[in-house]
Amino acid sequence: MRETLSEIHALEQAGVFGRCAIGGAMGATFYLEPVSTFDLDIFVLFDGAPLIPTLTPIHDFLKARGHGVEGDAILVHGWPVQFLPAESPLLREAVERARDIDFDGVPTRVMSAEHLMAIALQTGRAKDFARLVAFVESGVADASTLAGILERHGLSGDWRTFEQRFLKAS
Amino acid sequence: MTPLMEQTLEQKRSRRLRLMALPYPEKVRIVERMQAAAREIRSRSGGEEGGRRRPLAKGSGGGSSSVHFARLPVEVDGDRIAGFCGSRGIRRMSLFGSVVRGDFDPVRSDVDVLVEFLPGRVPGWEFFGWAEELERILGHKVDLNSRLGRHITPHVEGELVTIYEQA
Repeated sequence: MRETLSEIHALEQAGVFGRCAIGGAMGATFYLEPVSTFDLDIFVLFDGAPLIPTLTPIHDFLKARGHGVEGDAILVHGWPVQFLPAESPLLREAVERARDIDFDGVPTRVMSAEHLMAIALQTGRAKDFARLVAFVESGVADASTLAGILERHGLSGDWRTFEQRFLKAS
Repeated sequence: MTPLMEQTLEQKRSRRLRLMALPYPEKVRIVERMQAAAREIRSRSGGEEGGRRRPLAKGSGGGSSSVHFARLPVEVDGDRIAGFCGSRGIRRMSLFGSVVRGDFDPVRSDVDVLVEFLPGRVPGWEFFGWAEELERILGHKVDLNSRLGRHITPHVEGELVTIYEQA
């Protein structure tokens, strides 16, 4: 994945988008045990916030460097990469506050554990709840930071429902 | 809890902690090995079962959904789906995403499934185990959803294809 992240870094350096961060299952893998997944989800912010965010410049940039489209992703050095505009306030904040990391010499960013949890809660599929439980059990998240995010994005009620359904019953 | 069960859980916990503590690049290499294994398994099963298409099976869904059923790239066994839903208090089961849009990749794509429950039938932990059984029925990896997130709903509402609905 080093080469894949290097290409994504090149995109950012070229100014195709403003800032990006790894989210989804590969973001969660930074904090938790590895999980089986096929996609690398990259959430991107666009400088100047166009009215209709388009991924065309990203696709054009990568196609010009020899990478091909595979379904709704772009295959970059073996990894299907899905670029997702960070459109909602929660996603935007998650990208803005993502932590800088070094992946075998390539600079990149991963969303914080607390933001990944809030996004999983908001997305609300079965696998998101399972990931959320894994985060809770791992103890990697800071409770007050998470509470602040949930409060800011109107997810406190959803969290209470999640707790009632999946944590207090066990 | 029996001592053996406690010991097993402790081993699982230790393994999880050990994996969690690995450096990120090492974790990614584990994911890549899992991907390679999954692709190998899917390519084998795809070679044997690929290209299956079957019209609406009797006993499930019905009505206008039959047109969509005939186009689905996965085989839907109506009787088994009805049995699955009936025993779990599922009022309606629908498909969405690539499987109904036409860009379904038999190797990479999950079958996105949305279930709605009968009033008062809210599952607990057992919900997480259901996907595996549904995968055996549909012959593909399944992404089972009990509701859709608010920012996803508007994008998929128009493409839901009901494959089971309680009469």
